[in-house]
Amino acid sequence: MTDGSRASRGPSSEPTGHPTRSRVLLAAAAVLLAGVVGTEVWYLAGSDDVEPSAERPVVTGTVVQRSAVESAARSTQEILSYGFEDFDAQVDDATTKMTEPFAEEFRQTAAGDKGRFVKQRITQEVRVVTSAVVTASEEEVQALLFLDQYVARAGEGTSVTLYRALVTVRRSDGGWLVSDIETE
Amino acid sequence: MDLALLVLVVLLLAGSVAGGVLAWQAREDRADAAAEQERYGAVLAAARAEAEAFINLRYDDAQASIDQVADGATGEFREQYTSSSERVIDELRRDESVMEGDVLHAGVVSIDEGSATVIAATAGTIATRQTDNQPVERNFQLRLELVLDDGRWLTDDLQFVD
Repeated sequence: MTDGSRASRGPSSEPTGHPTRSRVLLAAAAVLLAGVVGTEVWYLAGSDDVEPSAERPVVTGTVVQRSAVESAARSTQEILSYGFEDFDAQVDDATTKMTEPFAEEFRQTAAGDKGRFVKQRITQEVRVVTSAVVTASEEEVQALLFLDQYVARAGEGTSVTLYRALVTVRRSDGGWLVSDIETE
Repeated sequence: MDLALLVLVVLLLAGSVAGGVLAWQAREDRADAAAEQERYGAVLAAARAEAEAFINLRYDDAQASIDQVADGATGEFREQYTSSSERVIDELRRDESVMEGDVLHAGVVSIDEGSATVIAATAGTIATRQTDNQPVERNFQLRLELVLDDGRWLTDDLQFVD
């Protein structure tokens, strides 16, 4: 009876203290599956971010790049539209749409223009004719803008000039800020 | 002990199946995104090439200049351009026109799988008899409509923006 009871434990018992075959197989399967899961997690956690290049100039989604281009257009229009009346306040307001380094550069440029604007009583207004995305990543977008610039001087009519600007905007906590405006 | 190991294996198996589905979906999404991103690059390259061909015309190599533009064009734009080529060549030779330039910037206004609108800012010069054959600065703002034609992005309309 005793012998029969011992024999009924069969191969799953551990009479000698060694792991059984089924336990080895389960452990091997666990290690293998853990490797598979780890690889999957690594793949899923992997970043999709790539830098813009000639082959892939826009490496972000449509929503992001469109909102950035719209922001670039709106901000550029506001930044470049100012006049001799309340000149300093307009410049201060414009700099709230810029990164700090560009704001500093803009203040210096505006300070150089102030005398001419006040003396000739100049008012300029810029309107965006069309806008397009040049390069775009999650953090930085370059937009090409075609702009109509209306310049009015006291005693003279208003002149209109079409020109273009390459505008760079950078993502910030408060939205997209202009970090460069290149006009040629 | 064996039961705990068995439960662990079952959980890992479920996790690996779920992870596999998610990874496959992510792979598909990344492939779609890469294709869309490469479409921007292909469209801009084609638009730049066409705009550069359009603003580089020489009276002493007029037919080659015309052919270069025609090569990147399609539809009505190509027909109009090539049908007026004789007149254009005559004018180029009469005025001894040499127009040279580069595309400074180009950007995509809109794009889908088969068509796109691009704007381009160019910088260059033009020299004619009227300028005593001296180059004078001439910059353009161009708007190009492109279509995907048999695997190539071709321009089917080109307009000056002014």
